[in-house]
Amino acid sequence: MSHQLKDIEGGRDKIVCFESYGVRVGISSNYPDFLQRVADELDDIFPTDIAPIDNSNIERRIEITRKEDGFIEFMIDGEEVSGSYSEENVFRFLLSRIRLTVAEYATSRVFVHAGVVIWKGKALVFPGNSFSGKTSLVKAFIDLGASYFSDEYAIFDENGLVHPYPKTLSIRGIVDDFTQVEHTAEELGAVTETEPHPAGMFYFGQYEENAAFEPKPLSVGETVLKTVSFTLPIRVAPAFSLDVLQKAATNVIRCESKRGEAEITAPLLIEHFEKHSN
Amino acid sequence: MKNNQTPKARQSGLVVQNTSNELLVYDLDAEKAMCLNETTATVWQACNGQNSIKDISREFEELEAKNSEQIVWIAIDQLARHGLLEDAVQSELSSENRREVLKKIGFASAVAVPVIASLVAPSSVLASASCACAAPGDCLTQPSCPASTCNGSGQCAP
Repeated sequence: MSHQLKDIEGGRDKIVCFESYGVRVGISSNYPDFLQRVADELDDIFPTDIAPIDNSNIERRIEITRKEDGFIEFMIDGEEVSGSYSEENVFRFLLSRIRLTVAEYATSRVFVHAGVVIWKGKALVFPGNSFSGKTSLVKAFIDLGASYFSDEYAIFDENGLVHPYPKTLSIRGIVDDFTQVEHTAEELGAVTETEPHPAGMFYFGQYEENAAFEPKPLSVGETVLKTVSFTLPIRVAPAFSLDVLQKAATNVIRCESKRGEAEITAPLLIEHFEKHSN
Repeated sequence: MKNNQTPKARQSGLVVQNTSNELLVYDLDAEKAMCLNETTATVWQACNGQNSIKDISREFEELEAKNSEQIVWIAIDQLARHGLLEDAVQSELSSENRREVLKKIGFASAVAVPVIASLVAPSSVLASASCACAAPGDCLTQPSCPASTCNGSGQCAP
């Protein structure tokens, strides 16, 4: 699907508008080439739910301004977010903020920063920050035959079902420890699931060299509280978020443990899941 | 005398979510999420501004819990500390007493030690642990950079 730039009435700026997960977003700029580049990425940012819309009833406004000296800055809802002379840096950061804006204001979904795979019909959810090793764990599960769901967000609906966010996997450690190289799940030999699934497990684990996997069970309340740390709309919609997370975390395996290498942890997690699930 | 106090649970500015035996509470003013274990939840729900500490402790006497009054005081102290009571309550327990009571409860009671786990809800940027830095070094001046070290593309390094 291509996202067309439109003229803004009475001005020289262009705008591209889309709706994703119920959030209506308009991105305008006085730098059309840059805006077209952003527009071309939108389908990759939101692989399962995006549609072009007209520029009426826009809820979230992003304005990109290129100054005469080449400095590019952008604002979200009238607040300056960031700027740089490096077009590439602004571009990458802007994409990340567009994703965050939708994730925070989605009306019918709760976005949790997490890795998710499907194992025997259940979503195994690993909430965690960037650099916490989510992608390594997802990849280790894929190597064991799990289907891919997400390495960025677990998206929960009002019934607690998990929906896919099958963006390409961002794998670090190929170029250096920070640079992410994108791979499709298929390139890694995995099948991508596209239908919503019930959660089967919530696992919280921080990588620590040579750490033993010793899972400690968590209550529903403890699980929700831990998940809150990674829940994007928690401040915007706390009641909805808590309700959804509580539904998702009920009748599932819930545990935390430090972990060593992902390749060692993934089989142990599967063993733990299969031993304790009904 | 202190046992005649009638604490009242705060009602406004809170989102409350029941789980099977815990309460999840979100404080809209402090942007703080809390999980009350069963003991603390029972005490909080009994704080209606009319029940005295003695009245509330009867909930636990029915469970044959020893030290039921002290259990209630521990819970009340925690509820007050987390802003979940309307008015200040004069505590019965000194910190030394509290430690002693916690030991006693831990070893000899049928009721769990009152616990409130809490955390401040992150902003969306912090929840995703991406920062607002568009260039290396920006993280030193960007208040939204959670790690103060990043790779300059909006992703925080460890």
